[in-house]
Amino acid sequence: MGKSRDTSKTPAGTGKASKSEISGTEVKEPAALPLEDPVPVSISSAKGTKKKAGDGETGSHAEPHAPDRLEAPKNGVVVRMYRQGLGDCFLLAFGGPKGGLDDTKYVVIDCGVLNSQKEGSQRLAIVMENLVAATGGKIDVLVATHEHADHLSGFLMKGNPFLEKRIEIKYLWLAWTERFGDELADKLRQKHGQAQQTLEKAAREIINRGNPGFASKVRGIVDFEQMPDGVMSHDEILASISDESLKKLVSADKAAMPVKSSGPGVTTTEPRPPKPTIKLAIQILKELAGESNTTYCYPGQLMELDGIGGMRVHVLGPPRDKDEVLIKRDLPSENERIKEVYLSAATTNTGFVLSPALTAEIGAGGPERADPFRDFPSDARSPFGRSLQIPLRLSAKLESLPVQDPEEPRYPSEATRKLLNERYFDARWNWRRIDGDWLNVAEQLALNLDSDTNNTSLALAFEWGPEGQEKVFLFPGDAQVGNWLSWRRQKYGKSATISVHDLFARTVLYKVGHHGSHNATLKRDPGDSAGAAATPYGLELMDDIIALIPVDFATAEGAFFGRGGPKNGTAAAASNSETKFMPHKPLYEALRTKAKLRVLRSDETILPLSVESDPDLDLDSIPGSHELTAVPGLKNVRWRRSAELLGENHPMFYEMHFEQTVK
Amino acid sequence: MSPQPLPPPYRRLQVFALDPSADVQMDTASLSRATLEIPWENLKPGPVGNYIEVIDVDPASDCVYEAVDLQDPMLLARDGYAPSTGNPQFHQQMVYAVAMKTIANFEEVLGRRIQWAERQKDEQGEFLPRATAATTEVDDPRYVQRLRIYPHALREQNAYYSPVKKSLLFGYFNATTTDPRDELPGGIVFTCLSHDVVAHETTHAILDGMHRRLLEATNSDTLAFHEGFADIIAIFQHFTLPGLLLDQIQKTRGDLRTNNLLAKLASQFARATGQGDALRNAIGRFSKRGRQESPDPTEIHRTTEPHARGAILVAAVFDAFLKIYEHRIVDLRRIATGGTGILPQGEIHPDLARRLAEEAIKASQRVLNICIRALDYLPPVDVNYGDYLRALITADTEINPADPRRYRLAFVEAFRNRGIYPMDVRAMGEDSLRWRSLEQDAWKVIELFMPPPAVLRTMAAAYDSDGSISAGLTWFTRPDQIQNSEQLIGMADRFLAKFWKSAQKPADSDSEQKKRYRRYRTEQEFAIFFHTWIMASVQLTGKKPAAEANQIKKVINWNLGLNFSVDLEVHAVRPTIRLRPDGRSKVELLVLLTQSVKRDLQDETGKPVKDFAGDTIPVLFRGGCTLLIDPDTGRINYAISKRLDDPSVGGEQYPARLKRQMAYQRAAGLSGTQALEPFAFVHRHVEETEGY
Repeated sequence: MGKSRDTSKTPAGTGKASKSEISGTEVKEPAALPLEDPVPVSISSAKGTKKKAGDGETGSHAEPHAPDRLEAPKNGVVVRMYRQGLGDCFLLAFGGPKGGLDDTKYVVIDCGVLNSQKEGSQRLAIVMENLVAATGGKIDVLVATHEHADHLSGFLMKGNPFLEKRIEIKYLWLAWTERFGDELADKLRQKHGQAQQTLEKAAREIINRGNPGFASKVRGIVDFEQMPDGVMSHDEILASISDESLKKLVSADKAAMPVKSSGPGVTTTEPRPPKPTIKLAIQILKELAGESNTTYCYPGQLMELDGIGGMRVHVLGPPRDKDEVLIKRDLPSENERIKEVYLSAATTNTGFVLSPALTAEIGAGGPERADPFRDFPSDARSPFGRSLQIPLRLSAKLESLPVQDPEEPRYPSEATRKLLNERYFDARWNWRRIDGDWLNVAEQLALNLDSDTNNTSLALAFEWGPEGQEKVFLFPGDAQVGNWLSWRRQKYGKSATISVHDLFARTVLYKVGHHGSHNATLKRDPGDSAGAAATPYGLELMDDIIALIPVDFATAEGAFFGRGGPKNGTAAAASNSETKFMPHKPLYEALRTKAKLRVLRSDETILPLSVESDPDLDLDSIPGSHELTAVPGLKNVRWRRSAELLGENHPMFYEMHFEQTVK
Repeated sequence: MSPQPLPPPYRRLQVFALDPSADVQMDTASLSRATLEIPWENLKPGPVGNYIEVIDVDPASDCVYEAVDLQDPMLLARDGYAPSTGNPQFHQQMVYAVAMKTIANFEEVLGRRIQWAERQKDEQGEFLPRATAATTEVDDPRYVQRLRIYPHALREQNAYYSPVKKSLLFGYFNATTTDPRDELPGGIVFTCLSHDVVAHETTHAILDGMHRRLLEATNSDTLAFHEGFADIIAIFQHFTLPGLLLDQIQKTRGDLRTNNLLAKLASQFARATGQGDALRNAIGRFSKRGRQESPDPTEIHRTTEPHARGAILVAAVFDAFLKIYEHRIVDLRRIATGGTGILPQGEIHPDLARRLAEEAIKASQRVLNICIRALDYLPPVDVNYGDYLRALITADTEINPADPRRYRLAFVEAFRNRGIYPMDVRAMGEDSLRWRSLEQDAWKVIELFMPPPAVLRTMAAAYDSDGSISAGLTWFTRPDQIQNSEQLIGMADRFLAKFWKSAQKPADSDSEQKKRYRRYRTEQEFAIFFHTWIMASVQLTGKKPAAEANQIKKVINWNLGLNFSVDLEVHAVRPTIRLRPDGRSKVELLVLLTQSVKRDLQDETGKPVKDFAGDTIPVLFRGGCTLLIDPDTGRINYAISKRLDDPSVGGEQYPARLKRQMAYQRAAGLSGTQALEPFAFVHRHVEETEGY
């Protein structure tokens, strides 16, 4: 099985990739292991340089020796969870056999914050300066899990050290879905773009119809794609960089921004700042790392960090099973429905559902670049022939009917006009009108779109120590159900013998998927159509873990429900209100059980859970001191909270030190 | 001058028999169209009739369509427009025809006019004022005259009854299949042209009008019951479609356990969305050889999604039908096969097919009849499948007391095989399943709380009498002002005088619409009387010595499920009419009483569950009873109750039923909030139970 994966990860025609595949990272055959990197311990050379970054910290005096650089213990691992709010940024430091700063390698997973996070950008700026200091300005591997702002926005923010090249990215790991020229990835990218544009039009339409609350809700769902305030505009980025190839990228992204529709017949569009797309972040990272240092990860692949022999990284997802990825709905028998992972028929169909009604622009004659169904005969967009349709506006009250011109749109007959005026347009019947009901499906489209992107998350399991024996750190990005379930399909490790169930069982640190939402941490394998029974899976197989939830409860609530909280939501929100919370309460409780209360979050240190009102409930167990202390219930693990603060009583990060236990 | 002709009994309207997909296949084309006979009424363009108004606005396409005028002589003379997917006026005609047919089926079985659920709250969630003396059907804020139907409301694979808008919303969509053998890929599919979808949604609306608390999800069966019942009606209406039954009997050689059109629901919808050849199939699952697989009694425990769980109920009822049908045709098969009962290869004789079809119709009528009638024997709240089984058995016993061929066992067996059984019976025998009658001792106590027989008789008779609407509750006394039983009797006397002596004589010219409204108002007045009577009686009980009062409370709580310290809602006071075996009609008075209390949501250990803000989460716990009263004697024949425990006489604050409800609501993630549109024909969200 491992062999067949090999072919998939190196598609024909990309011969130039050989260097990155070996030295960067990924190694299958022991023979390929040699460290071809010319300066295997080059990190040490960065020591002591670029120290000015430390200015960004607040209150670092509490640390007695205050080493800005993060040093991993010999053969040990340090995991730092930054707490900028709803958004991911993790720093992992791996210690080699020699120990010391020279033998420490740095892996950074994501760097972003959600659009609506209060003070998110300011906090993230401070976090990024800490990254510079801690790594000495050199990251061995940067992992960008998926294209959501809460994971990547940092790379586009004003003054970020990546664009300013104060941090060097040695290797960049991306999911295969980011690869251009990969047929499947290209297809997904195209579909996603279409759906996105449809949705934005729907949101505008909803505003035009006088329901801004609902529109902001729909947009709130795709908030993960919206850029926070601190993100620069194209022009600001252009002004801040000198690198020509970077400039080219930014200009290209700017040119591809949708043209604001402002023709006749288009009433309003909400002014949205022309922020770059999140895709630009990935492009910039690729440029900064260099294409030859970029590895596209395929499920089942084994990655290694050069110099740290004891560390292996298994690529779990995103899945690449054609049967599941491709839109293929013609198979199911009556008892079975294929569950798609990515843009399902339902999603794309929804795109169609929305598009025809959102084509006021089409009527106005403008070229409709955003319209995914522009190849459809125009008549097929309408349920009936054009001659049978009477424009809604013409059927409302008119003092007198104009003379019918055969070329003009039709006016209703006297009888129909009477019917509509008496029973539909009359204010008495407003409660029965359905003008906006069809747009409710936009919410579904937004949710689908969001899940689809989450499902493209690069999901990694860091295994450290002898293969198949030691502890596992699980970083699933924001992978949702489809992605999680696909991990069953391959075996991992050099000999391809490790099952994902085994990885779950050995997990000691779990970065909770999607900020603790209800469907991004699995508990159950539903079995298969062949009749296999449902079995425990995911979190249910983990035990005695530390759980990390990069979440801000208040922000998540605001993003999903708008300002008014759940009560202002639509029907779907009302019926599912409990499932929309982050963290989702049942999951949160399961995590507390599995982690024996060792649940670390990015928001308030004291839980806004029912703790105050329920004295019997145990508080979450979190690091209490700036100094390393033993983690309750776990051997060979210590943790601390940072002395640096991101606000009153809000440590910038939590840090966990793991010592290798199996020699 | 020629005499004025009487209106015809029926209006004939053409429809697609099942849906348009059958119309484009050679083997089904001959029966893909049907002409339905709809009870005659004068229609305005729309159509707008007594029960229904079709409004064809299509905001998704930013347009409206001309309204069909079915009174047009050109259409009257040819049974309306011919079936066509491309003619919106035909769509309006078809939704009207199928919805009216569904309504007619209910009225025929129930023996009374149906009413739509009243509109209780406005858009802001405030309660609307009740009708006053001067209110008419046009300006009554709560009365819903007509169910509204939007044939082209949505652009998605969906259709639903909206309890808020009192409307049916139908969607249309592009087929997502890639297999042109199913549907034209990308072609437009209209849910309003599917007989099954229209009948299903109409049934939701009718059921909501009969039992408004069935919308509340208090156990895993409530919403599933709504769905399953709507499917049952849709499927049994297949049997009334001319030609379809005979054709299917021919094709299956009389074996209806093989896959056939009668049992298939929403074929086109399923094909167009790539979900096989039926969205739901009443026969259940099929083996490789195309015959019914035996049911799995554990499936029900694994199935929570309302439509899927509803399908189990449908399968059970359909199985009962098949058992009855098969029993009825055993002799025919023997006659046709010279005693072997084994049919030879090839087609069966047309005469045999016709005879089999006759038996199938009889069996289906009995089953449909019982299924609808059983609604009157359901408790008013927290219904589960076991209750429905008991209601079915009770209803059938009332109509067919003898049951010489033991057809009731067909139901018992079909339900048992699917793991459906009531929680509170000692055995699955017919006798145990039937709701119990009140015991004599209990009746002696309960009698004190019931209006006198004369009042009940009046109610049963006046409901359908056109003259009975009062102007201003002239008999009314506030319950707290009634000090003794004489005053109570006085109120009853005024009530009787009002309805017997001073009833207005209706004008002949009054429209059917006015008559329906009068019925609605009359029922409201009865409800007020019942409420006043019982609450006043409760108050009088309070004046008795404590020990005696407590004893009375206990008996009432035990037998009627009512808690004396909680206010009462009277949901319905309407007659149910049926034919007795001796050919005379029998009238009973159906009264629905409910109550509710608020409790705090608890976890399984009994500790209160808090939300993130640290507040407790309220749970609405409802109880109540359905009374079937014999108006001649005033006696209660059945009191079908869900008890609201009365802690003041030893009941628990958190009884077992509430614990079950809380367990369900915790698992379903419901925190007392009610979905606004619970009846989407298919759920937009795919449940992902693998997560948390």
